[in-house]
Amino acid sequence: MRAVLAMGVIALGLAACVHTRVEETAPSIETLKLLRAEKVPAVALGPFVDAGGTAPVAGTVVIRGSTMSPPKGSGFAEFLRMGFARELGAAGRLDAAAPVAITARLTESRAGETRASIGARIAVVRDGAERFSKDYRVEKRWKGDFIGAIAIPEAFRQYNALYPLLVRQVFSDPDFVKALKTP
Amino acid sequence: MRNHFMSIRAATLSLLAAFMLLCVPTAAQAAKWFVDNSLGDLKPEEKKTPATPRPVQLIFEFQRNGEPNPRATKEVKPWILDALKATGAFTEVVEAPVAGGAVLSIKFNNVIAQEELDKAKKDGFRAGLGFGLFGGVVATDRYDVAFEYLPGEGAASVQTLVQHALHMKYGKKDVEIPGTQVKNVSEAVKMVVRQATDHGINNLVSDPAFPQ
Repeated sequence: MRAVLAMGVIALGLAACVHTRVEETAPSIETLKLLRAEKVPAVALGPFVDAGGTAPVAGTVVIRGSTMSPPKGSGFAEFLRMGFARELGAAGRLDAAAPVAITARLTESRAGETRASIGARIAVVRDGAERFSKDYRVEKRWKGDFIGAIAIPEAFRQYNALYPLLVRQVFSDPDFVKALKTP
Repeated sequence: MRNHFMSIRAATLSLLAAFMLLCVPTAAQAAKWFVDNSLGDLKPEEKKTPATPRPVQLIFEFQRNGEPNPRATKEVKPWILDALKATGAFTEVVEAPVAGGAVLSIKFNNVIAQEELDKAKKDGFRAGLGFGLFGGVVATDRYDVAFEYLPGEGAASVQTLVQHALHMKYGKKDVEIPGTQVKNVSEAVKMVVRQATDHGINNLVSDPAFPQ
């Protein structure tokens, strides 16, 4: 019986250690309505890069030894780019040949058991020249749990959910939208 | 394989049940799933379809307490697409923009109250430690399913909310569940999805603002 119980404990221990990847979130009706209401023109997406230098963002998110990584072969900055692509694509506003493009530098990516945040400097580039840039940041807080099987996936979900929120925050900024529309 | 549309409560209880099955396979009582009877199937005489159905772009998200649940979204989306096509309200349902610009957003939100979660954890541990023989637990997953239809660019949206529920019983618990038992959690969620979609789309189509 002791052996059976030990096996059970081992099984639970293994189940508690998770290595997963950040996952694609659905585009939202809220962002689509925003893009439509503001009559945002079709835009292209330029490079989305990590801050690098003296303040590089972490390559993974770690909670109690469990990790969440970016999609295979890319980083969290590229994942942010995918988020912009999904929202713009759903609204019919993504055009690789458009004269205006959005670029970004991911400056912050943090997650704990009750708090997570990401930040980025987002720029508008027209005909190869930067016309506008601004820092954007979103943060979430939630109630943690002592059970790892609840606390770990919840932290990962909360971190994952920051990306579409950042995209919406950017398109909610009248200055950013104005820069996209200014010839 | 873990089902990602399970609530935290159901997932925790399943983990406990799996642990007990590992220890004493014959003693642990399997979880039973029930689809709540309140909503039920849409009656044929209540069904409405537009005279001229149009194509629509679907934006679907499964949520937990209003937060995205990407894995569950991926698993449930094919069931939503099947259910939508079966309604006959649209000529085509796709995820890319369509001619005319119609968009249908469905948010399938699994709502969990913290006090219910705490109670389920307590009951779950007690039932688990008794191998399901000396106690049990009933957990209810509630779903708020929000439908929003945008007929086109610049048009006002049509909205409706449908509520549904799924009950799980584990161990010995002599209570009557107000639901229809189904064989497993996947079948249960499929049924919830189909019934909620049928009612939600019918509500939208019945709205005078929905293009006929």
